[in-house]
Amino acid sequence: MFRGYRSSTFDELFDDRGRPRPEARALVQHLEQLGIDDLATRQAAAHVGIEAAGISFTVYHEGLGIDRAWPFDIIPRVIARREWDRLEVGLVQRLVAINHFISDVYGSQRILDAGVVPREIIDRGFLPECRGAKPAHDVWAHICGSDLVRDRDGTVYVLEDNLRVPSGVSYMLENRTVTKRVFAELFADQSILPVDAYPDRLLRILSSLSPRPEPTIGVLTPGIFNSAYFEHSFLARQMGVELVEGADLVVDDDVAYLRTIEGLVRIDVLYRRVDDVFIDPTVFRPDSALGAPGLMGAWRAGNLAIANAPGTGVADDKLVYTYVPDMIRYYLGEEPIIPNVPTYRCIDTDDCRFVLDHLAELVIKPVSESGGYGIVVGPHASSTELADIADQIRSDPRGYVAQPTLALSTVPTLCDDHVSPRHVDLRPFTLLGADSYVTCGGLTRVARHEGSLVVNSSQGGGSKDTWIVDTEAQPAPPSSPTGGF
Amino acid sequence: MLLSRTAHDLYWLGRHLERAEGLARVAREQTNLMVDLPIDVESDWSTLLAITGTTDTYALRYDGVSEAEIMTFLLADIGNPTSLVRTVSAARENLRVSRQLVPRSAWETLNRLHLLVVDRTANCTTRSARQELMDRVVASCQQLCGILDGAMTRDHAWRICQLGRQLERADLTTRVLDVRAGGLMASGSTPAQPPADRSPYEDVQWLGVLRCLAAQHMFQRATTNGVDGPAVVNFLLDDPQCPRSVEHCIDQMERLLVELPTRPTLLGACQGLRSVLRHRRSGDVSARQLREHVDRVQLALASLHHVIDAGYFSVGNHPSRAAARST
Repeated sequence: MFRGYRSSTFDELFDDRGRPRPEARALVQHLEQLGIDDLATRQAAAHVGIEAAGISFTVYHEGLGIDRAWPFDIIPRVIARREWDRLEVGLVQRLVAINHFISDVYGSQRILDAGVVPREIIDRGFLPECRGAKPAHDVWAHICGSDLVRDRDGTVYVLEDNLRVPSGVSYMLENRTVTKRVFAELFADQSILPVDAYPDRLLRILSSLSPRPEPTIGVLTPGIFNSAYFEHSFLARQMGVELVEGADLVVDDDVAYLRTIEGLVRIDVLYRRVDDVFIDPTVFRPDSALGAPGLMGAWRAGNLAIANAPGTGVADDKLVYTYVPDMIRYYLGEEPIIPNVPTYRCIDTDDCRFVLDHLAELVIKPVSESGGYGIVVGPHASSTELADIADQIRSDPRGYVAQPTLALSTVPTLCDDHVSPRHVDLRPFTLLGADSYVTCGGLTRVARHEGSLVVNSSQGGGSKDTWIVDTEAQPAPPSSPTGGF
Repeated sequence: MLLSRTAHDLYWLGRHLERAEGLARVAREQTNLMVDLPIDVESDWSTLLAITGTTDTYALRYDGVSEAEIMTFLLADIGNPTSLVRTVSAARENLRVSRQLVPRSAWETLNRLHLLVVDRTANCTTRSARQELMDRVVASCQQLCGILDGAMTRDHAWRICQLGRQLERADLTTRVLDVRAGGLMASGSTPAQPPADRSPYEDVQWLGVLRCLAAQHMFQRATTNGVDGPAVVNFLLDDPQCPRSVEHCIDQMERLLVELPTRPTLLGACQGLRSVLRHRRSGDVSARQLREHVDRVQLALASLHHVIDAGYFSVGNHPSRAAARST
């Protein structure tokens, strides 16, 4: 099955001499025993399972929303637990520093006064309405879905911090459910860390945001037409909380209520999956029906907790991202555990000149987009596209950053009747409240075509289950009293 | 707690599921009946249109009244808002926005039913293929309701869904009685005639009425006098124990309404429905009397639906401070 398999860069399952990495050995052995036909049969079974379970995402094409079955590749991506433990600490370190930053920016602004982060770059995403607010635990960003990538030499970088409404965690959980069904035997022979604690940990954090005992909690969704609606519904269900739309909410005297069949019932915590500026039409965009009038007032009065807090978007900016290592040093007095991808700031004159001279080698990103929109991959772009982006950079240098084109690592992926390398990234989810939690692994996204670096599901990318394998764990003795009934 | 918006979807989930099962059952039994009837008895597939209340919609879309056309219209036509494929799709949309409240297996079952119906209704051209599909649809709806009944907490979400099911069920029973029983009484013999003088096909048709409401066996257990028109009508309207009788549906709805948040107008409308149902003299057995009676019951059902809609689904559009503070 893997004869002739060759990656042009770092491969997650095989080392550069083509031998399975220790943490992937059991998996590779099992796959070779199965053979390609059996593997293809199981892939088909997995797809049928996904369709029947209605695991879907919505794509928009020519104004029509189409509910698509979630694209899933059966061969998992494997990470050694020892490496993961280090990354986990690094992710929490990062989110803690970012929270210090948001709190500082809406409070005394020490970091700006000290000149560590230039004042002029917090212009986008900064909401004056949030100044002086005091969220519980002084935490603003409770949920973060960072994108990690691994370069040719094996170094793992943080590519982006997604702090607004990162999605994908439901697919991470569903991928595991599917994999357990099709590869049940593999879970018996080795120690693969479970992933299903996430909804419970999220619920605890949300619950801790309200001073009231047994608070009423809701997931605020933009509605059925949102591409991540499946996830909103999934999380509400897994946590046993309400799934709320803007029209279900009403605010009276700075207290938020739900319209229920029993009349109005107070709501204490909203896990909002709508962007900052859609939360409250009386404060932000008057045309938005996704939030509800008065929510900001209820939040500021401390009667309603919102996660992530309004205003968090100030740190979800690719230019602000370039300062996160400085934030870690400034607030925590530590060195960053996971490095940033080296990034050129077009707002800086020297960087900008360099970027314009090397467009064809770089990846150009607009600072405030997400979901892969607006990105120009230099080596794959036409000369017209490069000329266009050069013009845009010149007219709005604040709006762009550039990074070297990384050779994202690969994982063997089933393509029709053979296995071939595909580039991947990894989106773990980090939670922060009174304490912190990181998912065991995360959502591995995989590019569809050979050589492609685009992994976004909205752009045709797929996904894989991610295994954190503990190669040092000893198998339990046969009569182990723990685990199971 | 149950959001008004979600309650609306759960209520319609109940209605659409019951409607889908009823439609599949009625289509299946009509086919069974046609197989039994002699070839010289004129096949009348258009009673299916009358039962589903789609005679006018149909006439706009089709010229003939053949079995194939009518079945296509009822099962596969996406231009017919009450076709099987549209009803199952609507149920799926209802559950898509309320699936966080029901067992996961309920969603999977409905999703599979949806894939089946979308995939198969358009090209089941033979009777046997159609009958097999109807069997699967009925079984699948029953499986789904079994999952809801067996695994859902008896909270407002479950009650609202049940309320929709019971109302739709009572509605279907009255529609079948209106069209099929009314027709049979108009054309058939009078009850005074001894059974030996009656057409052998009349019994078959009365049995068909019972079968499409899944009530044949229970009727036979409840009576020792054999199938006869007025007894069937009484059974389907007034039997307190048969789950398909209008009386039983009202009983169930009343219990649900007592446990749901109190709305005086709702219980009033339900009791109003019951008194309309009871206001029938036992001697009223003519086709015209039956039809008038069933019409009054249907009007009362419709007004119950409207007060449910107003009472639960548009709650809080005018937030009252007093109501808000007390919760």
